[in-house]
Amino acid sequence: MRILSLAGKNKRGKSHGPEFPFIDPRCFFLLIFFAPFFFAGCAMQQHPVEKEKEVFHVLPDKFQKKALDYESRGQLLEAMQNWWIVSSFHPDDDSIKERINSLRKKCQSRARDHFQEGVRFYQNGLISDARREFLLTLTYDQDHDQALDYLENKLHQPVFKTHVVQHGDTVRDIAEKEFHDPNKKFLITAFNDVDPERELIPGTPLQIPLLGDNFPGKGNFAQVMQDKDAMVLEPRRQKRKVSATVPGEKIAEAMAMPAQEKMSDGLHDVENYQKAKEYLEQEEYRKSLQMLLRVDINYRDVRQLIASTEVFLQQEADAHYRKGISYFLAEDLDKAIMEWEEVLRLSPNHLKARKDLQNARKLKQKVERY
Amino acid sequence: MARLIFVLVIIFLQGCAVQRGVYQGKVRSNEFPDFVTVIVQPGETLSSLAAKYLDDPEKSWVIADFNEITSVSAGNEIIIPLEPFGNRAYLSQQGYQTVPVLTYHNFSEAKENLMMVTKDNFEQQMRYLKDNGYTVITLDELFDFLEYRKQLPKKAVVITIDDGWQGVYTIAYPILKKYNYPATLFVYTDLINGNRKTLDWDQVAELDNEGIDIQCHTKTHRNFNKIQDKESLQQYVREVEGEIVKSTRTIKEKLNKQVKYLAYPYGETNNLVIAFLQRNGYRGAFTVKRYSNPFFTDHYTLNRSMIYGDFDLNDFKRNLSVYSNKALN
Repeated sequence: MRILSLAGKNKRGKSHGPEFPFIDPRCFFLLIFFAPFFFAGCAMQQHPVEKEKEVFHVLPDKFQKKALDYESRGQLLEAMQNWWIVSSFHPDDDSIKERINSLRKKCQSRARDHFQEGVRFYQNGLISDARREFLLTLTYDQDHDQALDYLENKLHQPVFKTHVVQHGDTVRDIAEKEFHDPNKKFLITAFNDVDPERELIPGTPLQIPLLGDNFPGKGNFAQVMQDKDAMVLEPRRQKRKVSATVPGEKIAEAMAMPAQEKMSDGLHDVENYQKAKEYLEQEEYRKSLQMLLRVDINYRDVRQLIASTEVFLQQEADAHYRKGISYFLAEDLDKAIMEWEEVLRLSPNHLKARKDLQNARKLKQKVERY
Repeated sequence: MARLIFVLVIIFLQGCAVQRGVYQGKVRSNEFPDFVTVIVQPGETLSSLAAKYLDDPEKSWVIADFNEITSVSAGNEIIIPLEPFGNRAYLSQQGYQTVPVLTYHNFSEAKENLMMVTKDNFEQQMRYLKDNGYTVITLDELFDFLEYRKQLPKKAVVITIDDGWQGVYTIAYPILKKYNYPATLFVYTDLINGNRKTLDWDQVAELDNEGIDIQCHTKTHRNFNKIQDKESLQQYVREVEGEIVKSTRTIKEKLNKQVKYLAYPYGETNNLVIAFLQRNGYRGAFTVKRYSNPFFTDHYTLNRSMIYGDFDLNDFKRNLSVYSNKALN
């Protein structure tokens, strides 16, 4: 309440000019006297950051160590952030500020270089290289909007393209132009609010779906329809039988399956098919075949994949067989045996390898005996 | 006169006593407003510190991740970042964060089959997440991460459940509630008929109100990549559109909720389906490819890992990859 009097009010809130201390000449003298002392006293306080330095014994060193560690690993953005923290404990240390500035410049320069490289890869159709470069851009500048735009939008497969209506265009014309089939006009009306019977307004942008490589009926829908067995989920116990089954029986069996069991089989097919494809890309043909044999033979292109994988396996087995022959002729029995064992692992029915392996083992026993 | 001296002394002492930024138990750096330096006081925990400085006890992971600690004790010196720190997706030349999305289907007291996880196993799996520092996040949080807008805990994981079987309500939900874990239930609307094995709409609404986010799994659970007998392309297009539009509308009518995420039946999709999802305002959709998701994954072909009923804890752990150490250089 005493301090309130500084605002020139007494207890009752009324102003009393003469009571205001600064008006009194004696008080004025005292004020002049106290003022330098008052401000000097406050100014002489220990700097709060200096105080922090004293209070925190571990943090400054810990974050300096982290900053150096990040720098040594090339994580310049993280290093810079840690130097900022260190700098707060040493506000007068210009060397830290210089270091931060130098790191900032390096980050900007590297972000620029990686982005340009990414664009170059993108323009040349090298998508995974472009992705790597845009990611590297973000490691130096995480707010690089253009790099982010490429990563989020441009590097993924588009599902639409835009067709701008020309004078005199009809939906049928556009279907002919975009899908090479005027009867596919329903693909245009499904995604655009246009009346197929009315004339289109020139300049209107239309969204045209891009069916892409993964579309089940791409190119020839009727071909997919011929493969109608694929629509029925074959019971798991029938999976490994490649022989033809009457579709009607399949439908009956499928109908009898509880919903969850059907789902389980369908999901397994998807998962095993994906694994098989991955193994195929890694040229792990045997593992791929093992996975494919677990999938519904009518699922997607499983039948063709099994056939081609078996061809790959045979080719690989033949290569090992020939290597075995070379080793055998060079009288290196151990290596010849290893090669032929590999042949049988890849192709258990390889008769020549089986026979030669038996002979080589017998020969080896004889050699070891004498 | 005496009053003046008294006033000046008071002002002087008060002025000197107010040290900039220093107050009980913590020292704030005014020059660097994006973090606070703290000496932990007795009784304080990561959660209480998060509540005090970040206004949200659930954000304890921010303090834990930044300081690379799992707990605090009195006297510890720590920094509490007030702004996002580091790279938003832990992206560096050494690798990047990935978020696993787990998928369940049904649950049972004891009966175990591929699509049915027992109560004990589910409890064990949720406990494992808790005991090992995983943070279960919502789909909205996942999408903020995918858009590179929001930082997630280092060990973030999403829980999803497909279809709409009764076991979700009777078994999974109480366990999720016990651990305070959010989850998403993707329903295929034809299944929500309230028979002995399936949920009814009242139960679905209750789950939605209790924090289980209801999203779309189509109308009939049709495999989008299998063409029906004698189906023309035009019929197929109409069917696909119906699967999405009708189920979206049903959920809107029953729950007064606009769904924005979809789980593809059997995880199968193609460009046409994605085009319909985009036209209907969907923010993203999920396959069942057994991978975790980096932030730059296509939002309409996100990965999910199915957790089968015959999984032991080691199988479960293999689906919790939270970092890809694929070097970028």
